[in-house]
Amino acid sequence: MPSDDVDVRILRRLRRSTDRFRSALALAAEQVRGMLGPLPDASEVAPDARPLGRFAAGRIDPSAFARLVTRAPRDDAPDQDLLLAAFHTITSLLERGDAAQVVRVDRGADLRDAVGRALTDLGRAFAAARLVAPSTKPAERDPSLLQALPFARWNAAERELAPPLVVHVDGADLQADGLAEFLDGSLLVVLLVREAAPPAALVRLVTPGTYVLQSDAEDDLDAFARHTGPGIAAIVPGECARFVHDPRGGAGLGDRLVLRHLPDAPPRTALGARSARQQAEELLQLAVLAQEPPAALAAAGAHGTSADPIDVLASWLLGRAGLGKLEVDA
Amino acid sequence: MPTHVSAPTGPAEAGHDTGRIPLHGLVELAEHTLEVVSDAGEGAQKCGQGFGALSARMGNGSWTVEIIPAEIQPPPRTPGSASGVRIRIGTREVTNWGDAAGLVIAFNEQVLLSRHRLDALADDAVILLEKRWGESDDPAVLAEWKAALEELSSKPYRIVLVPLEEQTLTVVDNPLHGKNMFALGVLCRIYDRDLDRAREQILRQFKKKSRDVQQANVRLLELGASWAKENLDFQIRVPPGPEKGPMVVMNGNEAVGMGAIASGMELCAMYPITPATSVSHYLGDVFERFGGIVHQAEDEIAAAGVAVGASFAGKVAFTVTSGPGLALKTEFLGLAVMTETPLVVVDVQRGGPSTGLPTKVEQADLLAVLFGQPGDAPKVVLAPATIEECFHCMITARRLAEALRAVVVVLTDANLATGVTPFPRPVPQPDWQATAPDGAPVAQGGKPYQWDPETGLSTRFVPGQPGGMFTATGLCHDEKSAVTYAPHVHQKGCTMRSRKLAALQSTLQPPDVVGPDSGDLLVVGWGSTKGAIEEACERARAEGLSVSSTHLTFLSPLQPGLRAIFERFRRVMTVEINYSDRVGDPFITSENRRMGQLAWLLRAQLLVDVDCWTRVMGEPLRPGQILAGIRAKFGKGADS
Amino acid sequence: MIDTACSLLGCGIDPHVELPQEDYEGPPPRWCPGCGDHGVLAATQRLLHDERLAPERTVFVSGIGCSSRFPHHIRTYGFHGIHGRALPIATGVKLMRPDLAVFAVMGDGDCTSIGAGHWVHAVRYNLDMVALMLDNNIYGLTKNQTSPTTPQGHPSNTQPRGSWLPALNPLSVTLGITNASFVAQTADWVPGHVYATLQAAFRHPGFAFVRILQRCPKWTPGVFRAPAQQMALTEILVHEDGVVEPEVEQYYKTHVAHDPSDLDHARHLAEESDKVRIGLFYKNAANARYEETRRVPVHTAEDKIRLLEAEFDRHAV
Repeated sequence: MPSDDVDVRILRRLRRSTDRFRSALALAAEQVRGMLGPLPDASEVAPDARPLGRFAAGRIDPSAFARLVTRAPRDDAPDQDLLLAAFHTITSLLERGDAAQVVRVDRGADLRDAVGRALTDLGRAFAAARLVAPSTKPAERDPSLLQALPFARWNAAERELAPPLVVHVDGADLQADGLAEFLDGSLLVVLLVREAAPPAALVRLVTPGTYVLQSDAEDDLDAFARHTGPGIAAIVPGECARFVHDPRGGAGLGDRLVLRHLPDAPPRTALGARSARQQAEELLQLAVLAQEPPAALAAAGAHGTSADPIDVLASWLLGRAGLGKLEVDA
Repeated sequence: MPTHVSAPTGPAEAGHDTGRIPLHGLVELAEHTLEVVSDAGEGAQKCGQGFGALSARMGNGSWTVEIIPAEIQPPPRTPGSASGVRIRIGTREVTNWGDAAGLVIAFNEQVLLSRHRLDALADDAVILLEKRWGESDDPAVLAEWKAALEELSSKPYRIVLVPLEEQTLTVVDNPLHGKNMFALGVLCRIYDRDLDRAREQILRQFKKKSRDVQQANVRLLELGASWAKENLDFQIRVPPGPEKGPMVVMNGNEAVGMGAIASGMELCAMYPITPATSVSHYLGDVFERFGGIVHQAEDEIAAAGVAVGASFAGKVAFTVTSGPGLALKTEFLGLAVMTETPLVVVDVQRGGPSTGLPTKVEQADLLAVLFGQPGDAPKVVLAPATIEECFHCMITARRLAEALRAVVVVLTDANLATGVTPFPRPVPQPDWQATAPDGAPVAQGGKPYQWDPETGLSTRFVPGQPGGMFTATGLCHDEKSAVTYAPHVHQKGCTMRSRKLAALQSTLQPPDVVGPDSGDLLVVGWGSTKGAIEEACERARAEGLSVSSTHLTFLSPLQPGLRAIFERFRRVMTVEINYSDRVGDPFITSENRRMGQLAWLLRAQLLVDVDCWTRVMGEPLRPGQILAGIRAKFGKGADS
Repeated sequence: MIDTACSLLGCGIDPHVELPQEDYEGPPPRWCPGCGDHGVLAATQRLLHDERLAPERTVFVSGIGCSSRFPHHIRTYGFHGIHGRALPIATGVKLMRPDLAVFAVMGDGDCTSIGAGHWVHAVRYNLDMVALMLDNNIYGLTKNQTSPTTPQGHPSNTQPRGSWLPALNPLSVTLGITNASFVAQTADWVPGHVYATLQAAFRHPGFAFVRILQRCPKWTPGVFRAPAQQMALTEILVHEDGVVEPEVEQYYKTHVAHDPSDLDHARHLAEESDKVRIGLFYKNAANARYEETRRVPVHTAEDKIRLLEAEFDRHAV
């Protein structure tokens, strides 16, 4: 799948994490190549002669040299077939380049499944590494994982190496809470949201160590990219709420969460599987988390349990419009 | 019309050393040498390099070498400001810079004078000289001009005055930005170069400049060519050789840099030193794209230390230096030998001792590399003989360093470093590259110097490998790397480190002999002199002398079978660019005569009475000069 | 820290396994009884244990001198190099293997005399490593020669009528170097402080320079006798961001409040005084680290070949 300009642009902003992942793959590929020794290839040069280069041609007897320096492989070394399978898995993932990190969610399809599939696919690199790593006991080598290693089975170190993903999804399919299970290690997910979207879908993902960003500006991804833990960002249409939850902000939630924009009016219609009420709940939750003046919410009846959240939201939004502009990114 | 200042020389004679140029018409030559010289900053180098590249593209062999002024901004119109290029082109591969130039374009008479004084010009050379200085209103300039032409008249040069600047000013306002392209046009006409290719090349060369600049340069090229067509009455054709397949063109330092990349090395630790630095200029530009780093250390010592540390940590690193830097690295090279840390050292040799001749060639460091460390410090020493080998030997060097846990020194020199020649485009292989250590645990009881008693070889432990923890040390140590001064431990360690070289030698093959495999004289060379030596020997054989040559690429260990080869010749003589006493000089006897460096080595190693012929003129050997030396050994003519 | 120097092949290994402290101990040292090196070694072994450093991922580099035998007595990877050159070797290790924990151990002659050039530049490179300078004011191994830190007037075998020159102040020098990141001083007669300083140095992301004052029982037993015997002469720099060791602060009552981010005050405190000041003089974790600024993504052999072909295209005729 060829990458769009936007994918290239966004992955460039996330290059630090991508480099970390691809470097780990490349280093592993070179380690496995070392275990494999010279592979058969189309060249006419004998395998023993190839590592010595052309300067050695006619000057060093390659087989005599090979006899001199070749050592018996370790007893517990993986066999050549496993090494080759691992090598090809790693290098083929590397060759896919950006495409392996771009997910396109078909209209009406499940966001969680699509992201999960991409990670399962990338996980094959870890499966390949486990297959041949010196620390893996021979009995634990499982070639079947080369086909798929779901995120749920990635260990902590693997989750730290996770590459960033760019996900194209319709606003109507933005069931972001389904992604909570992937927000671990250093995985960064950028959602590029098409068309109308729920105003605060990502609010359900705010946890103390997770960077959560809703924005309409790609430039905000630069700060996002510098985060060292898990993170999720959505580039949303202008009418959605805009906020950032940066774990580096401080100990208190108020220090970390900055509300930059709220919609003028509450959502009135369902979007995909999300009812208007659910969308309103998310917006209210954002307001609560952002510690909007409690009085304002109280006046709007937010502490009441029976009121329709849409009404609460509507009157609160109306009220705060009179209070003046939102604080812009302190 | 051009003015003929001096009398024309005789008719052309094809096959002559320098290719004599006829007064009229077209001559076809197998090879020819020309120079472009100007004040520094006037662009002669660009013109000459462009001509060399164009010739290579047209299928000629070519060797381009820079003429470098001693200062960065020397005063203009002085012999010291001569800057430019010598280009030797041929139908066959060109392996050296040749003897004297048969044609020169000079932007003023003073830079021309410097070439004359260095004997760089053939007696019958055609000189295309900028004419404006002879028409100067400044009496001082006129006086200089007259004096220079007077001095030049000692040789029967044919001087043609060229309105370089006058013509250039018809296209551009600033002649500094254009005379060289006009000159290139003149050369294109004289040597019958393909103007379309030349245009293409200029557009490529100026691709970052504006369209106006590109077009102006193309117009100057065309103007030069048409001026030459109307005003010069001779042309020289050096036909291209047979199709050679894809070729690349670069200098030896770029080749070293690319070879380092192709070998999978990831660190070049260096400190600026002429003439080695341009390796790091090249790598500084491109290495990071390949995942590599050029680390400019605080000094030569640290550069070696950083490379040793990186290699200890599992990445084979290299350092690049020249004589004075090599001297400073001495202790670290000993440490790398003692700890058996793989290390590649590229020594781009220059004139010594001390600061010596920083920009000039000398095969100065062979013995320093072999014996520079206190105690016994066996190393592998390779000497590429061509620019192509500068590329390929880096792959071998890296491999040997790692496989033998050894220091591998690559001896190139200023001649290879600055020479530019086309060679077959390498086809890089994954197997050329270093692989990454796999971090596998070390088996119980494994020792960091578990020397194979037969070969002295052992497996390197790299940080990250569980169970392999050890402390490398420059102190005398046993197989566990434990420091001990017990009587037999040092003997054993020295034996094992030395044994590695013998083991490597057992896999080496004898060098080829070029020419008959027995005869009166065998010339033995090493390093960058190969092309000049083989050309000289070929010419000597054509004169009926019984001369063959062999060229050593492994200096440590030496290739096997040398004694057997030497025994087939009545005399054996090294030809080198380093100092030796001359027989017959005051006080010099066969007992006290100090020899060329390879001659010392061969005599000591093989007990053969190896003679030597060496020069330290700060320039590459000229084939004609070697030929004179060979003739003299046969009692024919005087040595140069 | 996970970075581009990590391989997937290491993902299965738990990097923080707790090992018994004996697992960090190499063959016992043969330093003189009473030598300060013993205490530093013990504190270092404890640090490795407490910080759960994997022995195979830790490298101790040293130069030449008594203190440079250090790596032989620690069961990690080690490189006992040449006189004055520990820092270039350590630089090479850390630059190319940022995944390794690197310590450089030097003596005063090693660091401030023959290796002074490397010292200046290692501070400037600011690689993430710990550099220990075990300063006993004398060349011990070669038997009593004056070092740059030998007190003026102190006799030695090379300057028997007393050192001619005023002693070099390594703290002032280090604090004057551009990009200085962590500069601390501790003393062998305050063992708890040695450990706390090592820990702060190890945890600091950058080049952590620690000067450890110690006595050579053979040649300089008297140099720090006064501060070692009179607690009031040892002044403790205290600050919540500094070296924090409550027990030491309790026993040593002479405190100086010093914010380690205050470089001017640090330079002032580093000046010679009749008291010995120990603690963290300066800390700045924001300085760029060389192994980070120079980091480049790893490429496979096939990748490099593709790129090389493009290089050949540029040089094609």
